[in-house]
Amino acid sequence: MKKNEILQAVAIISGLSGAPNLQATSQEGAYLDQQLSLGEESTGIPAIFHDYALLDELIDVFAECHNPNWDGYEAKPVEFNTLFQAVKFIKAMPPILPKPSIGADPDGDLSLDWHETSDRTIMVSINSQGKLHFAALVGQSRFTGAEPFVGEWPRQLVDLIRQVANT
Amino acid sequence: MIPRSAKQRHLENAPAAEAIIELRAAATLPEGESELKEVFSVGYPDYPEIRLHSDFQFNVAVGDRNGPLKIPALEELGVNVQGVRMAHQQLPQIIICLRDRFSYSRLAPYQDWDSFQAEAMRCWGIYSRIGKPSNVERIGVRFINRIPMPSSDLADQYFQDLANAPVALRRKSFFYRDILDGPGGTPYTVALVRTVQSKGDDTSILLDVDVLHQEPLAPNPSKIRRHLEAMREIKNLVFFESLTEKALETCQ
Repeated sequence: MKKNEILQAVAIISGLSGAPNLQATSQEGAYLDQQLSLGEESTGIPAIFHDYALLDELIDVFAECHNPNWDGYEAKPVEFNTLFQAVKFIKAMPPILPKPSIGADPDGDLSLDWHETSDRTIMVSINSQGKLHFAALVGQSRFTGAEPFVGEWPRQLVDLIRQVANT
Repeated sequence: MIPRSAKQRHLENAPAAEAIIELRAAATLPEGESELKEVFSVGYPDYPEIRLHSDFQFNVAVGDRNGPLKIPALEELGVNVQGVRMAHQQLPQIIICLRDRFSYSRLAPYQDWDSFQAEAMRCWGIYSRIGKPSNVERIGVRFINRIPMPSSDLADQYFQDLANAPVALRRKSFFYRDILDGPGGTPYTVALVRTVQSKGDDTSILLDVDVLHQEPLAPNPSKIRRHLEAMREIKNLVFFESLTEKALETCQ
């Protein structure tokens, strides 16, 4: 797929799947959820991203790593499901957190990195099932963990990122 | 202590178009589509209409300045099925069981809170036995209310304290969304939407009250019920305080 098509697919998905309200099945609920989504998309760019650059970076990484052996060392391709999970994850990102760098892992996961110094750094990866794995170094302390993403950022993860970023 | 609106009363014709209880938790569900259908058809025999459910529903046609958007089919993208959507054989009730959430919807006509909550918790119990969810990360109670309005009336006559436009121009439509803290330091958030929907000659006001609890807790039914009761009280407070007497009288 071309980058523009990926971007537009993501824009639609993020709008449709993103209203934080509970998923409704009635005609009235569908109307309300659509109005909420249209409000976000009136600019043509999902307002749920903190800035366009973050979305652009995510799409660029996906486009580069969507094919098998994308790193020349038999890396697994990043699947669409992984991209969609990353969109949902970033969409739910608390606004108080600083912007991460986006990357891809050889196992096909997408990753978000916050790197302040050599002893204040954290990486979170998300896979196609929405499972999060994170590893952090805060001074002399190391933290690792795994959590399913069910729509809310785990509190421990948010606290760690804030410690790394010193916010 | 959750305050009670002075306007609160029993409404014979409750205007709820849809009432939803949702619990978000990671559940272990079968991977295969046929296995998914099988386990849920056995678990919910009175909800025989089963459809596979994906998170990503392409049901809106959009485009951009380059023309209509060509959206890849879900099959081409290899999008995972997240669970199932089931409809009751007779009653207007829908259950959605996904890997990251459970929701129960009662469509119009709404009966009463006790039967609504009881069925939601019964169905949650079945989902829990199947998927063995871990911590409940979020609880939601959402009531979408619809009150028909004669075309000669104005929305201001139905919504309490509806803000005026800053200029003396006739308002054609509006969509107000407020995010509110729960009362008295309670750990809840309220998403309140007020708008008007017109379909042909018919116009209705829509009042959408969504109460959320976003702190993790163990999937203990008693604790969940206590939260649901508190969220119901908050929903009632917001509902009754959002509407005028004129609006409430149409529901009696």
